[in-house]
Amino acid sequence: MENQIPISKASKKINYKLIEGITSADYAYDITGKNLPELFENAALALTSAMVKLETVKPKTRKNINLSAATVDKLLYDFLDEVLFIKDTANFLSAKVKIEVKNPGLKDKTYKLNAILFGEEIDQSKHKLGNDVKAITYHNFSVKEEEIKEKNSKKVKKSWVARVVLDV
Amino acid sequence: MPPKEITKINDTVWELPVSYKAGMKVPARIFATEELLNQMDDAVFNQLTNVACLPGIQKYAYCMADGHSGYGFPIGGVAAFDPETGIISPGGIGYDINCISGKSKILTQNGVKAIKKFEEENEAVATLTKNKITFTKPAAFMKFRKSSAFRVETETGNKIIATGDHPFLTKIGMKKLEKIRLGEFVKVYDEDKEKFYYDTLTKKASIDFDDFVYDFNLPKTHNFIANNIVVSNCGMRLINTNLTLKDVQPKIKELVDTLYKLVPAGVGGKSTLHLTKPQLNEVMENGVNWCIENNMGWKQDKERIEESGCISGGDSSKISERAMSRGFSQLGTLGSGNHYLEIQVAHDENIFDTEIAKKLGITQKDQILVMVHCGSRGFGHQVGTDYLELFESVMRKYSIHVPDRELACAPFQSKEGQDYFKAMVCAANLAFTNRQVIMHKIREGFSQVFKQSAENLGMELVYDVCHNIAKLEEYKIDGKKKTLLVHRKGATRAFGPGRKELGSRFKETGQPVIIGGSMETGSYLLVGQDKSDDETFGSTCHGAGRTMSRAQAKRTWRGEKLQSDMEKKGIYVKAVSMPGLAEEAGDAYKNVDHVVDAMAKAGITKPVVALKPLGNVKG
Repeated sequence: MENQIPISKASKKINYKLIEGITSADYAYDITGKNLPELFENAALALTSAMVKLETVKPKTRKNINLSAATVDKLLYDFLDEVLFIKDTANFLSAKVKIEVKNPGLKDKTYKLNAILFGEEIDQSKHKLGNDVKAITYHNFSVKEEEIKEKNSKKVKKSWVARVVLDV
Repeated sequence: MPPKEITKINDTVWELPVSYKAGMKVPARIFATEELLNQMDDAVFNQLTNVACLPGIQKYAYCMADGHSGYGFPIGGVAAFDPETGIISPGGIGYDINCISGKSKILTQNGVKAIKKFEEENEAVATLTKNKITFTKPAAFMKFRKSSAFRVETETGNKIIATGDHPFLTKIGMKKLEKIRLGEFVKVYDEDKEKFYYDTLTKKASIDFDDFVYDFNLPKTHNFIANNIVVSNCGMRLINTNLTLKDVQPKIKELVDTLYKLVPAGVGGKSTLHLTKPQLNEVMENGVNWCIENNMGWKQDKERIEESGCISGGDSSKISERAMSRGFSQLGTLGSGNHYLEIQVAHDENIFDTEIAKKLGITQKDQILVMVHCGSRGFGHQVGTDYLELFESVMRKYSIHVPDRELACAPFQSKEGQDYFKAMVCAANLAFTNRQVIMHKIREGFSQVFKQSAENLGMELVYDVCHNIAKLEEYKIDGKKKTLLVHRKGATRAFGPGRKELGSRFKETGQPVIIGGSMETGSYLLVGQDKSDDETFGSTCHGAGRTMSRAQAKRTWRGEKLQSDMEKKGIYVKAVSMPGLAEEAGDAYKNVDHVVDAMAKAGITKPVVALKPLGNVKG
């Protein structure tokens, strides 16, 4: 399909970082990805990394998330909120995520997301846990496609960036 | 540093006059010593004076001594609004969000003026409604320093400097400047022909712009409800015992370990209640009454909780399935972050008012008490998110524009506004219940360890108070009694002995106020003074307030090291999360003694006892 963006491949580089100067009582993350699926995957990992040391979570079972939204911002917010909802209600955290994002088509003008979370039920005696995230906030929330000029070349690289503040 | 326009009213009260910022309806007052005032971050002054611009605000916009910047509203903020003409849950009308440069021209009733000029006078400005111009006085005027912006030009020569998030009207509706591409149409106004027309964007350059930018907020409705303020419904609870340091010290590890097992905390801490849907509905509408009926509380607990542990008017049909799901899985859990339960001691030398301490049940040397800080968990947040989404979709209907999505709102008297209010009450009731269930487990834990009933151990509730809530309360305005909608954002109700709501139990002492400091330095029990009625809408501080960000604290301390250092100091901590523990280190917070002192000097609250930590359970 023309409007299909390829499924993200797990990249070894860490594409999210905890940033300062936005909030003192909560966590603010800057997240990047070379395309939308990668951005969403990295955002899910950033969120999960606030709650658990990712290496301690094994991909034992899976959970599916299927969403649609009118904008990319809303899609990311809803997706992260869903990851949190699954944590709250099924006690499930994931360290591996596969994502597919479809751009709006001519008929259906919404973005569509299919995600599979690979993880396991939280075990407080086994997992190295962090802080429980209460909510995704809209404070300074942004999703943008940016153009970055490569050094010593005229080439312009496109990249997606997001800023998300988590209420802990 | 505080702005130079601030004036000293007395040693603990500071004022920013209405002339400080265009659009301020009342002055802003800060309760703090000079030292604490100087420690406040700049955003506090900006946020507080923004609150002072909100429609219907009464007397002053207040900030307590523990003030620090929040989201829209400062933490430590207190504001009261006329429920008829004012607003509920402001969180402010949009702060440093989308702005244009000071030289930008604005069309007013009396011709074109530079936006900068509005600092001096508030004049009706033109707005576009159904392609016609109407003139409206701005509700708020904002000024910020920004370091980057865009310079844009249109085909017919219109030029403007604006920040990337400033919205422009395009053919497909309002769009942020950063998302508008060259060649797109934006609506502009032809002064000569007095007509709007679409013009093509021909230039858009990112520029370094180290100067002030400005923006308005135009009121389209006088009263609206936003929901960013009362989402977590946090509060404090203090429980007495007839045990002393001598009884507890040898058993502190066993006690903390037992409570750690009994009270689910942190990531993965699961509710042990297994409620049915009708039961959860009852919790939302009846609050702690439900616990008492189900043997999770004593009859007398109720009279020691703000609003008797149940605010009336909650309607569970206004709660989504999604929020219900979170309620089922989390009711009776402590959470994490700055939420905790702590075993504390009241040393003789830390009792400042023996009479009142006795009346509140602190009668022995080195008496042991237990403090709990938590809220409504994911439930309250889901309620917030649900209504935020609803409000986002109805704002257009009510012609309300807010630049920050977290400030989405609806008129208070509208169906959406009323529905949200009923849902918010449910969340507050669930928070009271959560703390009640946790107290029940604490009583059980003490009973197990000391092999006596909780009744025999004298485990009476001292008090339970909210510090993140919007409520209707009565105050005198210009000599007349008036019901106001009081917002406390990181502030505690602090009624003096004179308030009729207190009932016989606290008529002599004033309402108990529980102040959580940090897990290393300790906490306080205060009582409210009558002066709070006139000076702070019956409110005081709520804690110490962070000075260091979580990110920085994480880098500065290691949880394991902090845990062993604290143990050496006689504080035994058990935590689900080690990084989470490090973030709560005492030095990440302001000195709570100074905060409590400032509010005492101002005559708002009176310290009764300082409580020192012995053992702590954290998520």
